[in-house]
Amino acid sequence: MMFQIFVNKLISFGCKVMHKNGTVLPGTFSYNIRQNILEKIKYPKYVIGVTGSSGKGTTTNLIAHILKSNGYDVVYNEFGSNGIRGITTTILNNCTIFGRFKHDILLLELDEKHLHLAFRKNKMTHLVITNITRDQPARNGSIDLVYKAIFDALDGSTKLIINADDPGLMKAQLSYPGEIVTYGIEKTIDSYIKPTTNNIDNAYCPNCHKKLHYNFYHYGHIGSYFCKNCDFKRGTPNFVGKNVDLKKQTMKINTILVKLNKDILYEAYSTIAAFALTSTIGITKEEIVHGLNEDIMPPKRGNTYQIKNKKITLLESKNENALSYYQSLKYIIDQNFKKSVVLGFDNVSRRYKFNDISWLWDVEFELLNNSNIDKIFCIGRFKYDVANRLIYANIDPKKIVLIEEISDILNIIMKETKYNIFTMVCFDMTTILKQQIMEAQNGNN
Amino acid sequence: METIRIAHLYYDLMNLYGENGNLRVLIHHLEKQNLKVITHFLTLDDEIDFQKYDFFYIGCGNEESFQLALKDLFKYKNEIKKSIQQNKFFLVTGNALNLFGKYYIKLNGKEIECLDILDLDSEEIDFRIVGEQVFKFSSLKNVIIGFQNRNSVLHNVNVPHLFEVKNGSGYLPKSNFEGIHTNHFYGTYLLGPILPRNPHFTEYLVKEIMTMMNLPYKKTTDKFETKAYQEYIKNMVKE
Repeated sequence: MMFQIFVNKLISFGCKVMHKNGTVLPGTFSYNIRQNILEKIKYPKYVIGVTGSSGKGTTTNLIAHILKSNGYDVVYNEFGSNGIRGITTTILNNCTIFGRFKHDILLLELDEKHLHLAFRKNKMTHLVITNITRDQPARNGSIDLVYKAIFDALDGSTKLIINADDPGLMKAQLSYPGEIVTYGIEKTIDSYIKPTTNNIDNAYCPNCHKKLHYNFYHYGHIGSYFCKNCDFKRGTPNFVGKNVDLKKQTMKINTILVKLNKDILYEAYSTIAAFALTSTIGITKEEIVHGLNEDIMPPKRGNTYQIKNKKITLLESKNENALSYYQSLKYIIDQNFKKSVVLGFDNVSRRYKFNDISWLWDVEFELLNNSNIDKIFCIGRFKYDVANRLIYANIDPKKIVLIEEISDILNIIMKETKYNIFTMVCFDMTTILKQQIMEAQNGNN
Repeated sequence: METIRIAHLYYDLMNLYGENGNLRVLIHHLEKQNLKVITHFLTLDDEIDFQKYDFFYIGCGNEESFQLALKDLFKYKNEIKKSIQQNKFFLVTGNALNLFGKYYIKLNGKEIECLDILDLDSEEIDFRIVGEQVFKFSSLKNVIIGFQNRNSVLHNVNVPHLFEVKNGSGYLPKSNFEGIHTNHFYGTYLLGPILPRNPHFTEYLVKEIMTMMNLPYKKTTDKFETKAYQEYIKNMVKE
């Protein structure tokens, strides 16, 4: 073990000296030498995991911020390497050479499918599960397999903090032997009563298999549901988010007013999840409020650029996660001015070579059928598939522009639209766009 | 105006992978033939009258959904058999195909009785078959493209196949044949938006429907479907 910890630290040091990303490589070596290395570690009193299909990174960062801003000694995988190798790097780098974890709290953002590798024998003290939605099916299969992967790694000794608005998570109450704390968000001005698509997961009661009824939906299958046939329901969660005001960026959790870092619903979910977790481990209300409202987490560097009279905002394309993609579209639509949108990708995934485009049909592109949308530019190898989906969302074909030439994309977009621009394209294309934006900005100066 | 009636079966249970796209595209192309299209979304606890419809669609689901749909379908076993014999259309994608066989054999060896409409057995496997697929359909010059993401295989298949495997997986990972084609029953392990991605196959189905209804087929064009197909063939399929 000493050898592995030493090697881990040495490689991390080497990566630092050579300015390489050293969040995965050290753990890869250590993990490959002996896979049960993490079982030998003497863990601190609090070992907290955060997992789920979306929002786990934001939630982890927020928890870390609340703890740090109040002087707690916490270590977390802040660069988001959430697989077994990244986790191994984080843990071993923060151990003494004898394998004792040196800090009071270990906080980990965890890939749903890697939980069982990281915690084979030792179990987490707390686990936050944000939601389970359709996400990377080529890797994950279906949502029930993700649920199984998470719960197979647990034995009841871990206290769960779960999103009660997701019936697919609340079914844990039927079978999980350990303690469960719940959080949820009440109706907002964006909630709706009737589902807008037929692609609702968890449409049936996990207990008696009768159709679930909803008081309201936030999005997808997330909302307030109940079974008319048995007791299964969302009910009143332990932590209730009320009066969500995305314009003012505030929400009330139980009776406490908190600030939201962004004007988007998933930020409210991350905030209430962080609130619920920190409360559960005994952080006082005053301390949490200090971390959320006073010592506010510095926002991530913005991805908005100005070229001539236009603002260009670069958003990440949430390929293969229809509900995350939906929320990004919703964010764009909710910006109360006229704009154009750029959509597309060359490869569906950065993680694997499969190009499964089924998810395009699960995304509610119908949202873009909005008078505040000027043009929709489709780029990348699957631009015709995206454009075809838009046609079936009843979007006026005159609004759809296909761009072949990626090397001149910014100029084309600037010429074709008078309005501000949102791009939601894959990582590689965002990099190309950024370059073109930089060149355009330098050219202006 | 002639009317065609479509039933999307277990739309809220068997819908794992964007399969709603199949119906949207089918409806659109049928409407372009000047047909009036009536679509009903049907599921558990609905009374399904198979004689009322001309076209049935069922997509894939997870293990639990599969079991729920299977249990419900038993009520209609004879109706379904009769409908297939009457040449009604069935489009069946993903693991929904397993519903129609004799037995579905679980990993633990348990044999689950299925509808026994098609002479075949399906078996759960302990790995997933995931990947892009290229198939040949005997009635079409253009290949069929699509995706599979499944954990079952077919054995003892004594019904005609739908596709010949050019690149990908058939009944078993190495089989040359995939899918089932008997009368107007079209079943395949391909999942998700098969019709949006295969305009030639959509056209074939629409032509067959028009023939069955004794109506002339009008050649139509699409805006992006054929382009998307051609791009994929150009970029991804090695001839």
